[in-house]
Amino acid sequence: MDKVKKYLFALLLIGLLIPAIQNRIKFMNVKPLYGSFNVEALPKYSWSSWFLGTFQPALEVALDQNMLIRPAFVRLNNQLNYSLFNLANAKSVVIGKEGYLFEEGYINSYLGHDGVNEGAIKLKIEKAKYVQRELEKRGKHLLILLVPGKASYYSEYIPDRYLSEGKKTSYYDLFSKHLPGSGLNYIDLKGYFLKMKNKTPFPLYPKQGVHWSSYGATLAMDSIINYIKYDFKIDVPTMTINEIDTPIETRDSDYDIGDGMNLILKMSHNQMGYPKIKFDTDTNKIRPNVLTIGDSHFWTLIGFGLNKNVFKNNAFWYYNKIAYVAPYKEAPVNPYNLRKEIDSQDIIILLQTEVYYNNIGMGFIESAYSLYKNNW
Amino acid sequence: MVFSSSLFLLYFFPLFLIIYYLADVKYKNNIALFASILFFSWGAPLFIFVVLGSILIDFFLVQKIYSSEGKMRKQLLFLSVLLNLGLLAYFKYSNFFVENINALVANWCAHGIAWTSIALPIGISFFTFKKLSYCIDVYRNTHKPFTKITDYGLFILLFPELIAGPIVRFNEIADQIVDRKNQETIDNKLLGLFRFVIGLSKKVLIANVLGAEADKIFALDANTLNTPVAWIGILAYTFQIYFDFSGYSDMAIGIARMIGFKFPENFDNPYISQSITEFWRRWHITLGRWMRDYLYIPLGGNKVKSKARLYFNLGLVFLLSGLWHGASWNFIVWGCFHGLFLIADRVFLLSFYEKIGRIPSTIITFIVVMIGWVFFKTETLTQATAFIKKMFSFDFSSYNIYFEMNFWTMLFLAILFSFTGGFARVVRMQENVLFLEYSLRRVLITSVICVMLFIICEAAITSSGFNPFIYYRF
Repeated sequence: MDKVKKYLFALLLIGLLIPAIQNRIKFMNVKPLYGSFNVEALPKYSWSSWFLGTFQPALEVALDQNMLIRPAFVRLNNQLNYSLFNLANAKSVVIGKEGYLFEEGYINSYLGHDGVNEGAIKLKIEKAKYVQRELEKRGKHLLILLVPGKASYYSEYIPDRYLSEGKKTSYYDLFSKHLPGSGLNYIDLKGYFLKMKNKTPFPLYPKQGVHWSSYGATLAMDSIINYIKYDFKIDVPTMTINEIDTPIETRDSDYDIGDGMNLILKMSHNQMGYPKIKFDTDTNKIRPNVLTIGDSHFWTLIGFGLNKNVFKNNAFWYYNKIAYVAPYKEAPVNPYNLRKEIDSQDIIILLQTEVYYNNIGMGFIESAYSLYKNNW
Repeated sequence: MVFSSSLFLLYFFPLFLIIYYLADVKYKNNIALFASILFFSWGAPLFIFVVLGSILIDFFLVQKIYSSEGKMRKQLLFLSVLLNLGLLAYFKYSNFFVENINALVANWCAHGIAWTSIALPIGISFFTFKKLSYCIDVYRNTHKPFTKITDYGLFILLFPELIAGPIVRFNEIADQIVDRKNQETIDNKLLGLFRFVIGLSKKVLIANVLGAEADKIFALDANTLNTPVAWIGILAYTFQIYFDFSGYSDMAIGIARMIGFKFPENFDNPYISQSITEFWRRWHITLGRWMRDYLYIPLGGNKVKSKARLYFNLGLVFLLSGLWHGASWNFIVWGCFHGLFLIADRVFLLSFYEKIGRIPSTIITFIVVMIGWVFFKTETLTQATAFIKKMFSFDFSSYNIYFEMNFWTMLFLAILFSFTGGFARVVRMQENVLFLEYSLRRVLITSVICVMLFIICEAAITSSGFNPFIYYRF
């Protein structure tokens, strides 16, 4: 009996070394983690770093982060927390009712818990109007897109603990009050999405994604094209939906929060539809130069080919910080070239998701306003 | 290096054990000593030289005590005690002393003492008590001193209990340091490993979860809390500190058992105590015994002439016990608070508890302990009093705070594990799990459970940055 116990003990001891062995000979394939996180490099040993006590904690952190088996441990921990306690181990992720996933910021924006400032919004609208007028004098257009946040679309799934304070005036409420009649060009995609909810064959927002679904993005894209065509009177190429794929698995960004939770098992999701889009290839159509300034919701539209097929120059300033110009090379947005950039555009689109309604244009309106005010 | 870190669990621990087991018996102590020095210097790379120097001086000083007689023997003992208490006073209490002196003289608009704060070396309170037990036990002829300095070094620095106890006294472990061949059985190795995993699970799966919420609540302004939130906060901390500290003790006892040592138990279901007197027989048992044998009894113990002197002795022991935990007024008040209840036990409380019965006295004692923990947890007396005030303000206004399901689950488990120790059947079960030999079938089943628990713990450790050990402060 002792012999069996001895073998067992030896086995347990060797078991403790599995992660270290994996680091040496990589005998298992471990699915990498999804999302953004830092991995510290192993620190270099020196006597001074040892005696200063900086080497030891740095090595502990780096060993942990560089363990090749770490993704498996993290996924196991996250799965247990999710399955047993309905807990998400991902930054600002909130698990709503019936497993709908949210980012906390979107819930706060929907509920007006993000400290709305009506005076600032009125000033922003006044400046935007001024910029729009100046652009129009130069034959250019400004278009603001109010993209809904997921929490607005699925407000019924927001956990009760967020509702105890009640819904307050949100930025959207302020825009709904001040934008109509302001003369500004805008598309209220939030209002449109809410109107279309339960009327579309597929959800406009996915259960486990933070961005609009492919089907939702298609509706948004159609609205943008129609606005440019009918309100700006530019005969841009139009789009048609050829067919809609209905795969078992989600695609694109429809599971992005789910992926960020780094679980072992995939959560059950809604049936999603993936339209196959065909753009008008008539060469007589006009493809304007368009600069879009906005957040990550625009990536879905780029994925569908909006920039490539409807617009001419493919410019996207991500958060007004990083410029992506075809073929999407990254460069920092340079405010000193703003005049040149605006001069080369026909339309400037400011695309903003609900969580960023407090900062429409992400600084563009203010920069352009200053330029025009300074007798550009 | 903490036990609940990937570095320890996946590198240091298995590598040490493999080298230790493969080594010839005559090298085992040296391997354990080398590992202990590495373990200690990992967190205190400069202070290790002070410790090694003091070990060297102590070793020869105590040998001299052993060979001396009469007044000389007493003087050498005094020197040894002074040396060790001096180190403790300098490294642990000088900042506190200077801060208070400066605060006092500031009232008279005088210049304070210019002082550069000293970093607190890890485990100093624990190994100082071990060193004191060595010189006092030898002085009392309880046991002969070590003949090899490496054996003495190992006794002081033995890494499982180096930084958070249990406080193993010299006479308890002296023979095991020299020879423990008979203790290195496969049953001890397996049961030690199981005990280690149990401790790790207590720390990682229960204490850390409760601690995160306790920290969140105690970080808030106590005046803004409502009464239920204040109670949830202190309840979370009450169980955090127990599962954290007893988990650490389990891990220490487990590792020690794996390498042939038998450490004394440090906890015995403390929250089922029916008085503070009983609480101190169940909580941090090795500290209580140390205080009793090396301080309380030398002061006269229970055999003093007057009750006033008895109460004075009790009060002094607990004041010093509070101060041992940390150099701040909060720890002193915490010690005095417990001392006060110990005196009250002797005056009237024990007979009162007897009248009201087991369950009410357990509840009252538990509440008293919880109130004490407020002083332990908070940084200042102002914070502590504000928090206690809130606990008893009956303020049930709404407060927007949310606790995840894992918190409630772990709190429930903590309560369950803590209070079911009051039932004889559960106590038998605990003894069965911790102390009795296992059949092969039971070994196999426990191994599977422990492997699963270990993987879950390591998964939690590597996934989370939150992993503090409370008792490292002392």
